[in-house]
Amino acid sequence: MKFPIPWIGQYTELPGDDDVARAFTLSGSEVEGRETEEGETVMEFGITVNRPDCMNVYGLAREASVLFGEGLKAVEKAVSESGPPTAQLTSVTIEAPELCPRYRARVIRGIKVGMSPAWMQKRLAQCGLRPINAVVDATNFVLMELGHPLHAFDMDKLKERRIVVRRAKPGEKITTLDGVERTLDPERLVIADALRPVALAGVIGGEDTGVTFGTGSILLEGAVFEPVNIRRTSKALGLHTDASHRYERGVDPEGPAAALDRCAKLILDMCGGTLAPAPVDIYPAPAAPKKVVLRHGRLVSLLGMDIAPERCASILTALGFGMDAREEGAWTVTVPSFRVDVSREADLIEEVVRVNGLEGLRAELPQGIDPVGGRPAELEFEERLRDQLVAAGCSEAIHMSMTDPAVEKALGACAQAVPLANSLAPANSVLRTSLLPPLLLTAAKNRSRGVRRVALFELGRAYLPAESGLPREDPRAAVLLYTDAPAKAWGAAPVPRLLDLKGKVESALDRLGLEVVFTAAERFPFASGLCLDLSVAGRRVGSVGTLAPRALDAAGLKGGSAHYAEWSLGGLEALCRPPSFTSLSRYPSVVRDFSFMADKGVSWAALRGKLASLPLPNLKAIHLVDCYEGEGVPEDKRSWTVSMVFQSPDRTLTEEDVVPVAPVVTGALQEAFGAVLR
Amino acid sequence: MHQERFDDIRARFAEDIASAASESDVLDIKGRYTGKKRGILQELMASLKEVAPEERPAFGQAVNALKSELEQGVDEALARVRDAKRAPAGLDVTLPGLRPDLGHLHPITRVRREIEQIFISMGYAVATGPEVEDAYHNFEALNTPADHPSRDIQDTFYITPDVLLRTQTSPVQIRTMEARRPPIKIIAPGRVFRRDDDVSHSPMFFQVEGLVVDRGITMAHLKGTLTHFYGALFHRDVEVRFRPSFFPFTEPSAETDLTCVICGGSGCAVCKRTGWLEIGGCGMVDPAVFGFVGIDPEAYTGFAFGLGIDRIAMLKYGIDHIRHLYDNDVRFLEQF
Repeated sequence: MKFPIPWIGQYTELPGDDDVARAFTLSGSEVEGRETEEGETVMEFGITVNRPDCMNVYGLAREASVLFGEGLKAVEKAVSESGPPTAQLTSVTIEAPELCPRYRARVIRGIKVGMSPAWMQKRLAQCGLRPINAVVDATNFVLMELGHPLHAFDMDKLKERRIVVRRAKPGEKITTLDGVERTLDPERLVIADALRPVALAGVIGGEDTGVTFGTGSILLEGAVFEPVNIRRTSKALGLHTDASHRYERGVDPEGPAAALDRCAKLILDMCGGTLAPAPVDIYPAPAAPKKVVLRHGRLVSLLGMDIAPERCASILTALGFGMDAREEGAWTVTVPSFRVDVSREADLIEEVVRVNGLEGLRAELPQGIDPVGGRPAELEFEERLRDQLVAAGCSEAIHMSMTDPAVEKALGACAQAVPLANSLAPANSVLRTSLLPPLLLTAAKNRSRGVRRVALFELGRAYLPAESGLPREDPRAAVLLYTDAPAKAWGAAPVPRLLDLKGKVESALDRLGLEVVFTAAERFPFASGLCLDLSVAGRRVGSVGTLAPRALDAAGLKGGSAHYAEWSLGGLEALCRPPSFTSLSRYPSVVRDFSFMADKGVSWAALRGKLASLPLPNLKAIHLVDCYEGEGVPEDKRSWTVSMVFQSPDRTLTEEDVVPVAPVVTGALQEAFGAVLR
Repeated sequence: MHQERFDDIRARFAEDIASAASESDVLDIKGRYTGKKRGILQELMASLKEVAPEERPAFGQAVNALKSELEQGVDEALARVRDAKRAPAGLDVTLPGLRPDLGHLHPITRVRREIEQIFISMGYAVATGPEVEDAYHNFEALNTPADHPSRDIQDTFYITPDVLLRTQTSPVQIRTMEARRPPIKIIAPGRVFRRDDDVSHSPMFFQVEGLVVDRGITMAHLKGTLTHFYGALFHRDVEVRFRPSFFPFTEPSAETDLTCVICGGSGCAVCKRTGWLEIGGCGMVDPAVFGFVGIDPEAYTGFAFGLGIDRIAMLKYGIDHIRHLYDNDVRFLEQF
């Protein structure tokens, strides 16, 4: 919000611009910018939503007078009145008092409307407003100066020259000053004449009754409206105005009189005319001044800093608060009507702090620890998993939670993604149900930038629709290995295979104390025959596999190959087993290697299972040494080398102990798989 | 006069033994110098009779000393040539080392962990909450009622009028205070969302919320906590300045300014020549918030603060644009 500094300076003595900017900034109304307009300094104030009283020149002057310890001058608003009293010229009826606590009206007759003088136009321009005509400019000028929104009606265009404040009738129409015809409903409060709405209360006037150069008599409105209704109307109609901005934050219920008088004076000075005495003022339930108790001891104990009672009282008095004598360390404070934001002791403490500043505040550390303390197990598990995946050669990605519904769908998302009601773009309009779409799109983006090998992981949540309440947030881990070209770098690993990814996942989880079981599965978006389900403690938690080519197409990846794993982390931290020590045998082990050929259809899982089931005493481990197909091996066969380790916990094994192993192994492999020893 | 002969032998031996490339070379040299028959030292000893009688004991000792010196040289040379045979050289040691294939942690994770570690060391617990929140926890219980302009401070992504993407990590305050009683000392890091997408904003970013509730908690404790924290985070002495501001859920509220960690307060481009960085919001827990969670504001007080992990990561690593953080360009990630 922009205000010229010399205008503020009309009401209180100001130091140099730098001091002004600093003082406002350090007391809560940040000066966000400074410029020179028409030879004068104009500052941009960032006024927080709780301080509508500062959204005008006089309010800022009041703040400055407190900050700099200077006096505050009164606004010139003395007016001469003549002719019949206002009540004989018009009438005001409030039919919706819950939405309009107060409506005050003044009438000026016999005016000649021209343009406002240059000095006024300059002030409006400095605040970012366009000049319209002298009357409208006067209402805007007073809005900027005193902060109370006013509206001027062309009196002769008001049917029966009277005002009715009421809810709109269903389907009732009004063309507002911006030239737009709007259809209303009873949620909207209108200012009407005898027949029709002539303004949207607190938001914008109607076109028909606006003041023009031909206007001879005016009715000036100074009203108070209920903030929530103004805000809803402003939102519903998409109309945010200087008036609605202030009304929705709350205006001074005692503000209309001074603002109307000030405005009337300016109009009389510019346009002549006569001001009717005794303004009409419908104010059935005047707001009682708020009283709040402030305990000095509470202020000290909340801040951890002592501000002398006299200092507290003088700050609040200067800000316009009424302070009665302190009794038992507490004041009963009367809140001025323009401070709609202050109603509690904490608010008063903030006022004192704001003006006093916090320079004297010491830096102390609180004692004690949180009895819960530290990271919960599931977060600690996630941190350790991150470290394991980094050690496995993958870099961590962090993606938006929002993704493209088309890509989600093309990648076979099983659940209906939760859509945003007000997304910024279609490509970010649903919450991801899997980490795959963002990771794959990232691989595509990297590839388009010439990065042709991607090893990424992400830990984050998938958002799954729930029957009721909030979506279910499932913590997940995902790893993507994408390669478009063999590495051409010193020492780089060759093209990663599915078994590389399987090994990374298995090793990472193993290091965390989880035993993972893989079982062959068929699932899109994985290629047929290249997918494994991943289970922990008998529960399927995810899958790993090679992505089907059409999955790559969905992300715009033409060419290359991608291996992907994703699994759910929920509850895994509770299944982690710490390492368990097995005593080391003092006796050496004996190793026997077996090389044989079997049909391609025979899997490692089957071979290993068979070998492990054989009745071989002292068998300690079975290792796969090699699995080969190609040159030297028949088309339909694979060649295997398996190493079997024997060790006894209580003696040294001799040759005789392992001699019987060979016939048992070869016999079993031959019988079960038709495998032939090489 | 004798000294010259000794030095000459020593120099010739050093030259010979250095050029020995094999075990037999070394043994040849050994024979030539220290051999019992016609070895150079043998000959030297034979010349003893030519030495003046009073110098003979010293001469004899010098020959023996030279002998053991040469024998030591022979042993060293033997060890060298034998080692060379077992571990042949010939590697271009200027070739690049073969690095293990390791990945990289995201800078947000690195900074988040640092932040968590500092607070854990101060006795805090790490807390989390849903990223998709209800309006009650994200706004109402944080003293931000419906139809109030304070809702406009944060542009919100909605799913339904009552369900939204959390705009701040502050709802974790409410969920924690609903679940347990003071003493509470938590930080809540996590994703937050604002419907804002321009050069300096990302629609998703990371915040850390802090909350301490106990008997006798003061604003001085808030200042001390943040001063200690930022000093530990940036590894330097910093000053924290509180500038009064407004947040619906704290009263008094303040913006936290920190001595610029780039220039140390003398003024630079990062702090826009002010010497200060605006780094987050904070304040004393508003009594209305305690009202929503049923904590007696007369018995307990508390402070809360928030900060952006993104901003700290950018300051710490000199990242010039927030977009880099969520673009996941591998060339970016590999720098951390």
